[in-house]
Amino acid sequence: MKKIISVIIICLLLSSVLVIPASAAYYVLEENDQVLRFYNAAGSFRRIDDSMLQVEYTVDMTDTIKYTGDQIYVIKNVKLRSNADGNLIRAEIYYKDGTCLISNYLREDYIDEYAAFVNDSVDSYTLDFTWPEGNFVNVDKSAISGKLVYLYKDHILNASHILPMNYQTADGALVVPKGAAVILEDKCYFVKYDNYNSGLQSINDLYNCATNSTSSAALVSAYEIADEATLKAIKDAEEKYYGSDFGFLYDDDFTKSLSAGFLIILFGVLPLGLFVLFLILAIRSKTIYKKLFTIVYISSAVLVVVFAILALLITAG
Amino acid sequence: MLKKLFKYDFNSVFKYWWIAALSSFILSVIGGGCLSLMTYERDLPTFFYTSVSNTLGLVVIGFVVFVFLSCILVYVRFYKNFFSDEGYLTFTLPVKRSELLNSKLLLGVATTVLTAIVFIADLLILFSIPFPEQVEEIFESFFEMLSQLTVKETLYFVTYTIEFIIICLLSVLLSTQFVFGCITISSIIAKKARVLIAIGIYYGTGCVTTFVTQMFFIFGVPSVSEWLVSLQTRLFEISVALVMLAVIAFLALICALLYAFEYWMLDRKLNLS
Repeated sequence: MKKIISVIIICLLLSSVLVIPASAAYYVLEENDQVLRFYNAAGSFRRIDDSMLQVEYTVDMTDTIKYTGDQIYVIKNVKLRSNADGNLIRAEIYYKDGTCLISNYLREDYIDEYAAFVNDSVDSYTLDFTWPEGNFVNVDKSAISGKLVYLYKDHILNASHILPMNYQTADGALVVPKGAAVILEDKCYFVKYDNYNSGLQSINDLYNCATNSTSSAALVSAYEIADEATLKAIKDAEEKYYGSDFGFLYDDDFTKSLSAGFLIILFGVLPLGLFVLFLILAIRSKTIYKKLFTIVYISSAVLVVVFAILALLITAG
Repeated sequence: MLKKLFKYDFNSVFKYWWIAALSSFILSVIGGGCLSLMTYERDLPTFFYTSVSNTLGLVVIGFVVFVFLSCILVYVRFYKNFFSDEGYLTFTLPVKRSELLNSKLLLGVATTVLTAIVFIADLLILFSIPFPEQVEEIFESFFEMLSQLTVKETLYFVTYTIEFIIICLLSVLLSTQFVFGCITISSIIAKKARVLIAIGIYYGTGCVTTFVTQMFFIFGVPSVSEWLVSLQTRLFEISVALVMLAVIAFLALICALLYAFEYWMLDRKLNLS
């Protein structure tokens, strides 16, 4: 019995150990990718959402090509993926040195629509709550009152939601980010991505700007969304996003802090306390209690370590 | 010595268990036949249709009785062997108390695993008789999905499967220890109506643990889910493996504590006179 249990534990540990470097090796490839702009990009580009790409072909190649005038890369293989309609095509060119070049191509059907998006000649933005699926709110440009305000670091970091506002086609095949909606309590502001706003191009840029800012000066400019009907639509979508059961618990920072505190106590503080207590007990005990208390303190140690790793992954990821 | 103890424990339970297992197997065949009649024979007379659907209902009850009986046999064996007149003899055997307890726990886990295997086989038979093509298609899709996994996906699949099996085994061990603990406490504190008191303790502590679990699900799970979903795709798979490892550690911790408590009660508190 002991041998069987030992074999199972060793297999589990080995598979865990093998998975981590295997996945790390896999993702080294993706970290070095370079994204080309759309072939007629007039100012912005967008990585295609992978979930839209389904059909996959991989072509092995051994030829070398000249990438730039100075450098030559040897191609390992080329992976072509497209969405179901074949409107969007993503070519991933994997080189033998481990790097990857990704090119996104847009079919002619969407060229005019894309041009309209890039030239800002569309009348409404799409506020994307993402969950549940299809939870979009159309925000007319006229609903954005024109009242210019300035948002500070605390506004960004304490916002209820910061969500993308895009130009996008009805089927979601083409999405061009134009700004972010910052939802604070009962107010909603539109932060446009342009050169006047510190060169912001994404929500991550906005977050990083707020997180890294050390001054108390205004961070970004924004326009208030004042139209009542639009605000109601945003509130309704927000409630759908929260869900029906526990939405009221996540409606304010106190409850979020409570949840975080609960988890830290349960998975961090309590196992750490058990670890220390049962380490002492295991050292002082004899007979079978020694073995049992050893299992308890080892399990507690595993809990603490796993919790620390997950906390690191969440804060870093 | 543990092997011998387990052998006798298992034999004492198996001589009734195999009859129940065989009965459930026969019931699954009968149930499969009833399902076939109900699905493909549309022109049955009403009374015949009613009889067939009632028989199917009895088949389902039979499955429930089989599972219930399998658990009861283990608990009865534990109670009689430790806390009835037999207990005097049991604790005079030249074996450690931990080995006596281990044998019972092993019996509980082994019987549960065997019962689960038989139950799954019964369900397969029940649905394979009326719907053989659909069942075959399910298996084919599953194996096709497995054959299309990449190396990385296969590693994760194996890891998740091993972790899931360990979680299931630890959960079975935990529930067995929990019932044994309730029986032991009732045998120590009460001289009469021990079974009723054990049931009361089981449901009482069950209410407390349900309350704690509900708190966790209200305050913990949505946050954890939200945070995990917010991770990039490449970190999500590793995080799931780590969360399952944490569950294993947590279950092992609880099992060890329950075992220590149970052993302490048997060692220091039990007074069969």
